[in-house]
Amino acid sequence: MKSYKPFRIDYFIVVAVMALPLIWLMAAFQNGDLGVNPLERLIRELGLWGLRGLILTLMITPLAKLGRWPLIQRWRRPIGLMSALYIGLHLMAYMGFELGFDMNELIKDLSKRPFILVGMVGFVLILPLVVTSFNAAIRWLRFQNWKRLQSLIYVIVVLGVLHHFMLIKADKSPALLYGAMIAILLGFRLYEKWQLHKGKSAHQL
Amino acid sequence: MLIRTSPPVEGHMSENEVTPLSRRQIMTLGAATFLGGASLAESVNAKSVTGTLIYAKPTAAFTNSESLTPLNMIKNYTNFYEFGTDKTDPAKYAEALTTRPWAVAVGGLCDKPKTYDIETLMKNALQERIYRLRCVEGWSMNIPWVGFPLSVLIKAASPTAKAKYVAFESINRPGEMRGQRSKVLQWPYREGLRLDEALNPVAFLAVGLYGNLLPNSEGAPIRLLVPWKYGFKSIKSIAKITFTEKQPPTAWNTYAPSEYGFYSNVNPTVDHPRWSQARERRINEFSKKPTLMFNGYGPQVAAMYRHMDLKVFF
Repeated sequence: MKSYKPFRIDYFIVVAVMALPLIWLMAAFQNGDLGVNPLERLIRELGLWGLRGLILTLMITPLAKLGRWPLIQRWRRPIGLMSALYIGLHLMAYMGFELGFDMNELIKDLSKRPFILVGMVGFVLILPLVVTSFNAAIRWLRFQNWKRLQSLIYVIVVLGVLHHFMLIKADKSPALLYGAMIAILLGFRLYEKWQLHKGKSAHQL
Repeated sequence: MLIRTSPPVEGHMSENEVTPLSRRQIMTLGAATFLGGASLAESVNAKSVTGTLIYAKPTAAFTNSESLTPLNMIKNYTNFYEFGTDKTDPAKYAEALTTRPWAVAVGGLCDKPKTYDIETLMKNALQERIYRLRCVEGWSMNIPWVGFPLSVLIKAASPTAKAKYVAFESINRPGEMRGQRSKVLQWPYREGLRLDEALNPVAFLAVGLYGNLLPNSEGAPIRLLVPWKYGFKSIKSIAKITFTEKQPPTAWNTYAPSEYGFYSNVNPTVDHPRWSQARERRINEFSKKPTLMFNGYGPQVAAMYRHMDLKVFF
């Protein structure tokens, strides 16, 4: 326990770093630095930072393994939670500034515009991950079940990048870059599984 | 001469408010541009030209009482993909475009094809028109343009009986327009109108904005305004106008035919997969407001479409 505790500071640092884009956004909004259409920009930036956060969450495990730095594994949860915060704020900003919190408008939007539906499904899938993000939940669900539930993040991040891709009018290259990063990160997991499977089979022989 | 050094028409901002240059600089520029034709680039470190215009105040039919979008907001929020896909790109990169000399070639199915020098076109009686402009992306502005009706140019060309459409082409100059170096859209940018739409009194060719020559970012030296249609129909930096028998290909329709129709009339009842067309955000205003059919120009334009299903011909 004693050797563990001093590292707690890293949680705060991770949360603080993850909060930087939000602080910047709020300050820029306050100062009128978000351009000519600040509300639209605010919605877009919150969503983008949420997506970037999710990708960063998925990067931690490969980094920990390739860099032989297992300690950073514990950053996944605060990074993931902060990403969920951005996505929640993104949804709130959209509902408030775009729809004026009119639920009928929301239903219309969901039925008319596929990219909104994709984003909303992604958001709904995040909720169980957020509410089971504390240690006791792992005990209640048992680790294997918890892990299975948390692996929904792969579906969420794919929905997230799809949501982003679908709303771009013409220049799709940034969305494709995010998509490629996600493909590599998912590929890493598949490769690992395959290696593990191969190892097991070899062992059985 | 079109240069005016007296104070602007009352009710407008002063020159110092609408342009970063001082009055003296404008006078110098004007003289250099219009009188001597001397190299302007050295004096302002840009190829664009500025200057104030003489024009008639808008008639009641072509004005509105809504508040005007400030010039800096117009310049810093523009879709002009020839300079980049970000709406702030034109303000950063459009100065690279040389707008003098400039020719507009009018041809195709007409009796009097002619290539006009921009200075000749500027000699048309200029008038101001305050038009709402509604972007397909769900935002809008209200802008005081200066120019002349498109019908002036159409009638001068005397289109033949075969001519049914008018095709427009922007300048193609990848050396000066950095966005044209990537193939986001097919270059040059193309637009088109039905001949009766082009002859409608609302259709307008602008050479100025807020009493001054058009900034490069807004389509200098000459651009179209068809405010009852989504903004992308109002083609910028026009180099060619051609009368055709068949409906001409247009840039966004070619890119995504299911999303951007040839007509693209502002229509709150026809939705786009990405943007709700029922409401719009007027730039510089907080709450969204309902979008009007034909962007509020129905009384002048609706009759042209009375036999058409606008959900089919969107």
